[in-house]
Order: sequence, then structure tokens, then C-alpha cells
Amino acid sequence: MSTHTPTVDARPAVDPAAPKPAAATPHDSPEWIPWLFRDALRNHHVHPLKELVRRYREKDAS
Amino acid sequence: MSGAGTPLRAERLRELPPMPQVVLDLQAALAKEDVSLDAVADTVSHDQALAAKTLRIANCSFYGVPSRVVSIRQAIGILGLRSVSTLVLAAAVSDRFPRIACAGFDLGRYWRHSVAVALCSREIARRIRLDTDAAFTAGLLHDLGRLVMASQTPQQLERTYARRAERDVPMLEAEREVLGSDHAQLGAEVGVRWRFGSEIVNAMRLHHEPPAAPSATIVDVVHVADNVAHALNIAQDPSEIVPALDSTAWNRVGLSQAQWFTVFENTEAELDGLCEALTV
Repeated sequence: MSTHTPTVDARPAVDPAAPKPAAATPHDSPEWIPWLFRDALRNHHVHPLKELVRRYREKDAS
Repeated sequence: MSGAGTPLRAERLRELPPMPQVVLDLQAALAKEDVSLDAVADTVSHDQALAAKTLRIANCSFYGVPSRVVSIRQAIGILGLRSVSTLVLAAAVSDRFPRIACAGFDLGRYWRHSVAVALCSREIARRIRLDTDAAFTAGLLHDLGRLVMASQTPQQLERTYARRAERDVPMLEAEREVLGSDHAQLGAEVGVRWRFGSEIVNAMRLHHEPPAAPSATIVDVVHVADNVAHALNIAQDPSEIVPALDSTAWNRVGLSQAQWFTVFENTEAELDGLCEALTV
């Protein structure tokens, strides 16, 4: 006899008619977001483009 | 949309002057695949003001032509047929709004930002092989709705600025609350009335909320370029707020950091020359 206990998915079934959750914001999904958003997240939650412009100005000044 | 405000009614839009016939003729001529330079030169030459503007633009330092351009044919040869179309359209739009009496709205800043978005859109489009002329035009006209608000309902726009400051909400949200509409929707309605192409109208309507797409679109390009121009604070607006950036649109555009730095550099380098050419 198998000792394997089938796992039960306790998550509630997804209602296809339910409204979809809002799209992930840059600050709540660091694995999915691109490099700029990740870097902005690490840097005190600044707007990702402000972070990019900061780097650009920094490079310009050097 | 809250519907709490008073929507800008269609009759207020009808008060807007139409596009001059010569501009419509030119757009129609340039939309044809087999358009000839002579036919366009002929159309432009028939309108004295337009002819003068075309020559002024061709002679502007932005295009770096060493000797003086004196004929319309030569000017169009230098600028390119589609660039002429865009520049003529821009000149016609700016002519429609020579003065704005709306506290908080700065016409010079408005155009400086729009020209920056146009240049940045073109730079991005070039790198991802989208239509650079369409991107440029869509970028230049993306905020037209805001100009229409300032011109047609200045007091409501002033209340929108006050609402934004008072509640610290994005401008788009404040517009929807006060006006019952927003500049993106309004600009698209004007774009339809003035017979802009569907690609341009779409970019005007959706530039704050780019829809899902399998690959990058002109809407994505203008959305990101608008953000870039705000982040660079090209308009030097003391109350500058960078709008929310849609990360899926950003991903679809997909440029590297090095490519973005070149886009920023080229946008800033060309800005003053083009503003001068357009006298905005």
C-alpha cells in the first residue's frame, strides 16, 4: 500500500467571474519586475525612472 | 470615472476651430503611397503662412543645413515628406492655441514637454524598429487634451490643479473628479475631429494606461517617453510629478541601461533646436 498522502489544495477555487486583482505595482513583485524596478525598490522605493535618471546624471557628472 | 465633475461637453469641442483645409489636404496627400514631392510642394506653396513656416523650419539650425534654403521643394527635400507632415500639423495645432489664460498652465512648458516626448518617442521607436514618424507625431500631440482644457475650460482646469494639490492625487485622477473626463480621453476626441490617424488617436487616448499587447506598440513608446520627459524634468516644472510607469509596457520596449542613456542624451541634445524650429 502506498504511504503517499495526496495533498489537498486548500486554496479557494478561483471564480472566473471575479474581478481580477489590480496589476502588480513595481513595489510588490520584485521577482517579476524588470531590473530597473528591482533596483529602484532597493533604493528607498524611488520611482524607477527617477532612479535611472539619477544614474544618468551621475554618469554625466563623472 | 467618478462622474462627480462636469464633463467637457461636445458643444465645447465644436467651438474649437477646425484644422485648416491645407493641412487636411497635406495629410491626405502624404497618406498616399505614391505621393510626389512636387504635389506636396504645390500644396504647401498655396498657403503663404505654411510656406513661410516650412522654410523657417528647414533653415533652422536643428537640421544643420549649411546654405540657406529658399524653395519649398528644396525644404521638403531636406526635411522629408513625412517630417513636413508632422511639423505642419504641429504648427497648425500651436496656431490654434496662441494664448492661454489659465492660472497654473504654462504654454511654453507644455510645448517643451511635448517636443521632448516627441524626440524621445522617435529615439525609442528607432531602437525597436517601430515607425519613427508616427512615434514622433504621437509624442508631440499626446497631451493635446490638456491644451484643450486650458483653452476651453480654464476655470475647471484651475480647480483641477487645486484638487491635485489639496488631495495630493495624480493629475489624471484630479481631472476625472473635477471634469468628469481626463486629458487623454479629451485629446483623443479632438484628434478624431481633426482627422488625425488612428495610431495617433490611440496613443493620445491610452498613453497613461497602455493596454496589454504581444509586442511593443506606439502607445507603449509614448507612455514610456512621457515618463522619461517627466523624470528628466525637461519642462523645468517646480511641481513636477513623474506619473506611474507601467512595467509591462517598459518590458515590451525592453531597452538596456546603456541604450536609455543614449536616448536621454539625444533627447536633451535636440530639444532646444527643435523648440526653436517650431517656435514653441
